[in-house]
Amino acid sequence: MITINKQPTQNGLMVEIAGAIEENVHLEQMIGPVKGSLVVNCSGVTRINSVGVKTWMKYFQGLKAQGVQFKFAECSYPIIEQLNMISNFACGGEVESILLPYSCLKCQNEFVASCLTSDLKASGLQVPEARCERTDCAAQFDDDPEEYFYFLED
Amino acid sequence: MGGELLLISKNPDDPAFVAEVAGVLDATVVTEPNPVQAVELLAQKSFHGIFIDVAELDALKAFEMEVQKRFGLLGDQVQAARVHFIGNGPIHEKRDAIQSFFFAAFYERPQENIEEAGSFYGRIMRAQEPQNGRTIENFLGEEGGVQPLFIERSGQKQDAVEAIRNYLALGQVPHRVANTIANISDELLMNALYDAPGDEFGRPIYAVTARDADRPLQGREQVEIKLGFDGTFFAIAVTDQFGNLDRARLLNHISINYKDTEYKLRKGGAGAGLGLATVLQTGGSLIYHCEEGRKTEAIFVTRIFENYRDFKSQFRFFAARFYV
Repeated sequence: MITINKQPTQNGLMVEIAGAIEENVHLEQMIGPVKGSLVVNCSGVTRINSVGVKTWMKYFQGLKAQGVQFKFAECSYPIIEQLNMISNFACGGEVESILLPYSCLKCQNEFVASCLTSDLKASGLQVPEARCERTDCAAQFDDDPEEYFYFLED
Repeated sequence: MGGELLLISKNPDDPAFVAEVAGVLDATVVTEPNPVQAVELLAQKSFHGIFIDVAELDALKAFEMEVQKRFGLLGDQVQAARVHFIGNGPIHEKRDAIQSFFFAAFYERPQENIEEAGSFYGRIMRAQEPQNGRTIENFLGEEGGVQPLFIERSGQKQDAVEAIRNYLALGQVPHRVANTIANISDELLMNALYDAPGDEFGRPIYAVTARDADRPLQGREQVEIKLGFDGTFFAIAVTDQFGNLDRARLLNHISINYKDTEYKLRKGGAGAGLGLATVLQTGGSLIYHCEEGRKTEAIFVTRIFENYRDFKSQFRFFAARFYV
C-alpha cells in the first residue's frame, strides 16, 4: 500500500510518499503533471522493490527531460540504500535531507532523525549524536556511516 | 556424516573456521596450502568438501590448471558442488572468482566470531546434504516451526510479503530488518512468478509481463513459500516448479555493481538483475538449488540481531548449485 499526499507550494508542488514502492505504484498517474518545481518527501517510504526502482527512475528521468526541477527531502533508509547502490538513482535531483537511523543502546528502540545533507557535508560526514526519547540514553547510529553516506562523497 | 574436508589456504584465520564446520559435520580437516599439492591429495582420495582461498586469484588459477591437467574439468575428483570459495569482501566484488568453473559456493571470510560463523556454515552444509528440498526444515529444526504457503495467483504476492513482514514483527525483529527481509522475499517471489515459468524449450513466458497484472497460477506455475524462525535464525525458501535458472545469467547478475555504472532502464521485465543485487547487498545469505527442468529453490537465511547494523555486517555466503 502506498499513499501520496500532494500540496501546492509557492514554486510548484510538494508530495509526501508513504508506504512501499512496488509494482502497483504508478508515479506518473499518482503525482500527475508538475508545474514549477517539485519537492518529494520520502520519510514514509518503507521499502522499494526492483520494479519500484524502475518506476521511480522512469518517472524522475522523465521529469528531468521535461526540465522540471525536483529535490528529495527526508529520504528514509530504503531510498538511501538505492542512492548508494545505483549511481544515477536521484536522476539529477538534489537530495536535500535524509533520515538517520538510530537504535537505543539500552532499550533497542529504533528511531530516526532528520538531517540536512549540507550540514552532514559541512561536518565531514560525521554522524550527529542522538538520544533515545524513551530512556534518554545515548543511541547508536544503526548502520555503517561509511556505507550510509557513500552517495554524499564527492 | 564423517569424511574429510580439504582446506587449501595460507590464511591463518581459515583453519579455525573450517575446524568448526568439521565439528558440525563430524568430519576431519586436512590442510594443504599449496594448490598443486592439494590436487595431488585429491588424486589419492575423495573429500567431503574442498575449501579454497580465492582472495589471491593465483591460487585458484593454479588449482584449476592442475585439476584440468590431472583429471579434466569434468572428472569426478572435484565436483563443483563440493567446492567452497573463501574470499575477503562481498561476492559482488569477486567477478573473477565467480567466473570459475568450480564456483558453487562463496563465503566472506569473517573478521570476528569466526567459530560462530563456522558453526553456522557447517549447519547449512549439513542441512543441504539430504537434497530432499527440506533445507530450511533441516537447518531450523522443530523450533523453527517451518510453515508452507502456496501462491495461487500472482496478485497474492503483495499479501504474502506483508504476511512475512508481520510474521517477523511478531517475532520482535527490528522494523528495519523486517522491512529488508520483506523486500528480499518480494524479489525472490517475483523471480519465481515471472522469470521462472518457461515454455517447453525453457524460454521465459512472463519475463516481460507487467508485474501488477493479476493472473491465476495454474499447475506448475504455483509457487511454494516456506519460512521459519527459531529465535536466532530466520529462513525463507521460495520454490518454483520449472528449474529454468540459468547459471551464467545468475552469476552475471550477482557481479553487477551499479555503484560504478549507471543503471539503464529496459523496456520490458523488471529490474535486470537489480532485485538480486539488492538481496546480496543488504544482509543475510542466499542459496540456490536448481534441478534442471524440475524446480528451483531460492533460500534466504539470516541470523536475527537486535539492530540493523549487526544484521548488515553479519557473516554471509552465497551458493548456487545446479543438478541435471
